[in-house]
Amino acid sequence: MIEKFMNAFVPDKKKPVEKLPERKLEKSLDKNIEYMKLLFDGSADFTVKYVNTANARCAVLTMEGMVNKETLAVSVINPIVQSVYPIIYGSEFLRYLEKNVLSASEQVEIETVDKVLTLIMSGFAVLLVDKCSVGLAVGVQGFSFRSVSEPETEVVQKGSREGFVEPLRINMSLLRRRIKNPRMKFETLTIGTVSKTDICLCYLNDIVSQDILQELKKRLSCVDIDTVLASGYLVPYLQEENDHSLFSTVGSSERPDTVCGKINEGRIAILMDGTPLALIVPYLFVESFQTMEDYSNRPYFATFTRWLKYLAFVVSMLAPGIYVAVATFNPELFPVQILTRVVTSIGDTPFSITTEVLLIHFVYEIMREAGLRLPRPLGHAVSIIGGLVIGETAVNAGLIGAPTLMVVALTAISSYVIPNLYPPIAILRLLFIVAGGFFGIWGIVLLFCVVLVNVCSKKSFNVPFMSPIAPFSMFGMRDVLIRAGWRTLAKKRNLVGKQKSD
Amino acid sequence: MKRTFKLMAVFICVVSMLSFTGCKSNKQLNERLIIQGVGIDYTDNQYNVTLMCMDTVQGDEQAPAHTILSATGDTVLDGVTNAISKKGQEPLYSHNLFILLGDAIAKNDAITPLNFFVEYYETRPTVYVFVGDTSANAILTAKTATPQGIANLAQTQYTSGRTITAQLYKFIEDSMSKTQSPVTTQLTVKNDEVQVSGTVVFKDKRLAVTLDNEESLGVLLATGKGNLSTAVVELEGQSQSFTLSNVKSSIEVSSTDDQLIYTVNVTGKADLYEGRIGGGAGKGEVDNKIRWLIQKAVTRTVNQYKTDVLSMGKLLRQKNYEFYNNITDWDKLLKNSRANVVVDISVE
Amino acid sequence: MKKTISVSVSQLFIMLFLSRIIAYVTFSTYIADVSQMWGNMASLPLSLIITLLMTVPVYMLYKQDKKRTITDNGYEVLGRLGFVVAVVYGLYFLWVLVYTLTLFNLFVTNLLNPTISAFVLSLAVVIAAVYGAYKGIEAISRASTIVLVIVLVAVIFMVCTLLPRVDSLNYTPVFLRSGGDIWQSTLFMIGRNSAIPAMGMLLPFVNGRVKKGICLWAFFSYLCIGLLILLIVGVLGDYISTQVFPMYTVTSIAGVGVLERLDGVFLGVWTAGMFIKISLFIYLLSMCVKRIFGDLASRVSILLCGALVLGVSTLTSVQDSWLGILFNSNVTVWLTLITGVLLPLLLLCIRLIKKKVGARHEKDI
Repeated sequence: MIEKFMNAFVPDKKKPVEKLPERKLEKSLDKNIEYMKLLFDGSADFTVKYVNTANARCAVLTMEGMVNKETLAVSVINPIVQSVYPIIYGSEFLRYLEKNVLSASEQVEIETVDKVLTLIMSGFAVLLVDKCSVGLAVGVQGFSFRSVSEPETEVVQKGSREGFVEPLRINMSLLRRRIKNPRMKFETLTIGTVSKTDICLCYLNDIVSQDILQELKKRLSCVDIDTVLASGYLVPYLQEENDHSLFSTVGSSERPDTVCGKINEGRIAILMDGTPLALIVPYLFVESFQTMEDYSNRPYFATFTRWLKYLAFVVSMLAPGIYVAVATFNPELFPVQILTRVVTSIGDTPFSITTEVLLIHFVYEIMREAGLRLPRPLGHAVSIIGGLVIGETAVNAGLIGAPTLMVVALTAISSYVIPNLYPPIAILRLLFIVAGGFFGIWGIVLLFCVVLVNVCSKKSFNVPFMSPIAPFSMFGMRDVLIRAGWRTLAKKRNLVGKQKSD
Repeated sequence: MKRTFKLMAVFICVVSMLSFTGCKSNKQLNERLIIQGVGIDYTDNQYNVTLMCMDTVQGDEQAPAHTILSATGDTVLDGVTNAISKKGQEPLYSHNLFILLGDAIAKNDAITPLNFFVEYYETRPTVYVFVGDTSANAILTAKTATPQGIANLAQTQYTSGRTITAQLYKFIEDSMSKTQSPVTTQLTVKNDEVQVSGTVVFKDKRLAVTLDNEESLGVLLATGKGNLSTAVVELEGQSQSFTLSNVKSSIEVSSTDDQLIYTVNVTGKADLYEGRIGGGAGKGEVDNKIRWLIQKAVTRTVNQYKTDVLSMGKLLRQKNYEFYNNITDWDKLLKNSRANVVVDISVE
Repeated sequence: MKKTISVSVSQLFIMLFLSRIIAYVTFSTYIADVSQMWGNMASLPLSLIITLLMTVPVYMLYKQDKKRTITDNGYEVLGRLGFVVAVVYGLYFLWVLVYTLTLFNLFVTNLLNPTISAFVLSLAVVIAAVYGAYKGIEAISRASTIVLVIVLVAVIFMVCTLLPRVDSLNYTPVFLRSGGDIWQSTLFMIGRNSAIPAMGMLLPFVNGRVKKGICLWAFFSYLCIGLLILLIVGVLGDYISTQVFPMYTVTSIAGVGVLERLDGVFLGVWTAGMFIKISLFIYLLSMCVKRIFGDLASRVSILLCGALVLGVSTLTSVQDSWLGILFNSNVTVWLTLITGVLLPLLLLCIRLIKKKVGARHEKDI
């Protein structure tokens, strides 16, 4: 019954998506062009350039703005026009062009209309020849894209400043540069019945678990979204069925070095064209606390920052709830000096502690969202208003108490120590406040146990989400409880991939 | 069907939240009366309860004030209820620091009024128990008396050894023993200031004897709790003080049918001050002083007032259970007991 | 991917260890004479030996077929009458649940905060435990690993802060009690071994060295109990006899610096341990229900079991006569012996007889 109830909130996502039969190219150039024009229905960016030679009529199909016109002219059109040909026609002529005339490095033969459409909308130029049912896609991409820069969400002090960008091929090259090994495999797929978005699975062929890989492909084949515009669209399909948890079992990163590190542990990265965020599966809970910088710093400092993150996680999730619970039901836990301050602040304010804390949190969340969406010039104004309104004025006006504000501020700062976990922390924090306000310490503990069981029951591609804490693995603790030195970490034993002998 | 489930779930959640008494029964902290000290007197067959409560209206965060509430009642709980009804707030006992028994109630029955604090769920077993040399109300209403100030007097045991302090659970535990005598600090008011005036020893629920500073120190030394204690030794008419540390003591008890013979071994380290240059007291003088302190204390408490402040009964219970179980006249044994005090203090 | 339930030996015995310790933490005047707590020390070694012996029948049944739970064995040995075994175990688990929850209710309402409705608090505990049971034994076992860490931190903190308060004079000679008293305490201890019937249901899901796990579980359980007794008696002495729940009193004494009056925190830690126990036993109860009624009941058995536990414990809390039966040590001991020792022995014997009869029959043929 619980399952039935919970399924009310989650759509079925079990069936693989059916693919329509593909239409092949015809021999007649005019018919092919007619058909393309019919499909594009007068769209302004579809261009056809007819190039006539002595042997056959040709046409170059491109999308305006997607190709580099100079490269197109130099490596495709000019060579076709200026070359001298033997007496050959049709597909033989096409192959002659491919081998002897065109100077572009990337050339792909295509036979279906679907492929022609996909490639020209990916920035290729497609050459069609009359009396030939095969086309030639030439790589002359020239669309604008953002340059490789440091990702804003994953900033490090020591380490690479490169982050993924939107084009898939560039992201692939960022990974390839870091793992110069033929065992590193890129497998491309297309998803989205309308958008036909390219995605790429990246893994090390010899250490990835084939079970996980097959399962991943099976789940990707069940994606039935028309238009896939961000990697986040795929996440529900990659998670386990009936997964209603706040914590995600699919990781993400904008950093090529982080992704390469994960691939090296036997995980699979999913790159998507148009998104700078790579997805990583399987993903464990402890990985939310691991950053690239941990591995650049000395072990003792990295261990210290790791424990700081654990503490920040606990504080950000539990501190407001515990404060509310203690102030309302268990004031004996306060030392006398703090009790005096809390009592005075409660007496001066019109709201109960629970209401106060909830109110401040909502105001903070509003400010945070506003800060994300605001144009930069206005950002300063918002922070001033936030600081003045909430920080000083509200306390002086007696609307909220200073201890409450202190707790909320500490919570807010702590939650940014582990940005990956901000969404679940933000929600859980509110739940703990309500639980603490209604049931005191009992409510906090029971809700904590429920969350704990929920997290412990999760699996990411059949790997327990709480590994290596539960089930416990002493070997895994070398990168959880502490950050062991590289001499120890180099003795690899993957938690998720195939086991490598040392 | 799915929509029905969802609606049902939301309805159950809302009804549950509104009907849970958890959200009705809680009170904000400012709606509670935070009790920090309790004084109990007994006059005219009535308990007179004096409460020291935190006052956040008059005081502020830096200098919290307190108010005094007094009322009488047939029982302690009755008196407390009458006192708090003057404020109409629900009491919070968790921050209570001490219970002060007036001299009259201490001489009459010191244990019965403490029953409420033993059994009530909110009260703490670690509150200090004090006894006043006058009424509790007179001490708590002294001009400079504050709850924290009075509670801090319990530290005198650890800083100077002038008194012996007991927490509620220890006090009650000693009173339940058939041999042990509870001891605790006595307070007085001098020049409007609350001070320590000695140690009181109880027997059969009543105050038996009051020990002065030296006797208190003697008992502490005999029981091995005299660390950081200070004492003064006289040498050729000159006073010279010393402090003690690493004090360890052991008591060996042996018994015959009508006499207890016990040996008190004390070791430790003493630091001497004043008159070190050009001569002064030495190990012998210090040993003698400590021996004298202990002898004075045990003679008065054990032999004269037949109170077991050295836990000899508990020692017998541990080492010679059969003898302990068969004791019929403990007072006689104590009265006739003989003490050997062996002291070995190294002097720095 | 196929779903198979698999729990490691350490996880199973951590769950059972927590269940055992939680049972002892609720030592109170409702179930025993608290002033005799020190006397329990004498019965600890004997209880340990008897506990290990009690696990032998369950272990032997497991060794004969590692894939079958004790209820499965019941059906295999007794045929259709096997449902009796499932019913008996189901009732036992229900008993343990009602016992635990009722004691919790009494503790909360009489000791902590009389204004909170016991029913509301029990409802919250049961809902949380039902969720835990719904998530399955793997989730409960993994969660128990983390709860154990929290419990251990709390115990270590308590030991460190209470050690200076221990008065060695509070310890009296232990073995001066009469043999009868020691035997009574031993029976009291072994009656709380609900982990042994639980093992009968859970061992088939376990991977690892079971024998070693059983020995370590028994040893550390009794070691922990002994340590707690030493602490409580050393700190409280004769004051124990004035307290309803001595463990709670001693936690309210523990403290260092500004960390004082931590009984609320320890209660939270204890509640986490109790959550593990109640989740586990609701799961076991639902396994028995599923075994009897098949897949028809599988989906709702956990909810039903939770509702049943809540209803029965609420009713029991308000009926003094029922309380008397529930907290009767003799009843608890007999139930534990029947489910933990006698029934497994009976199944072993019947199987052995059947085997011999079968072998003789084949020989005759």
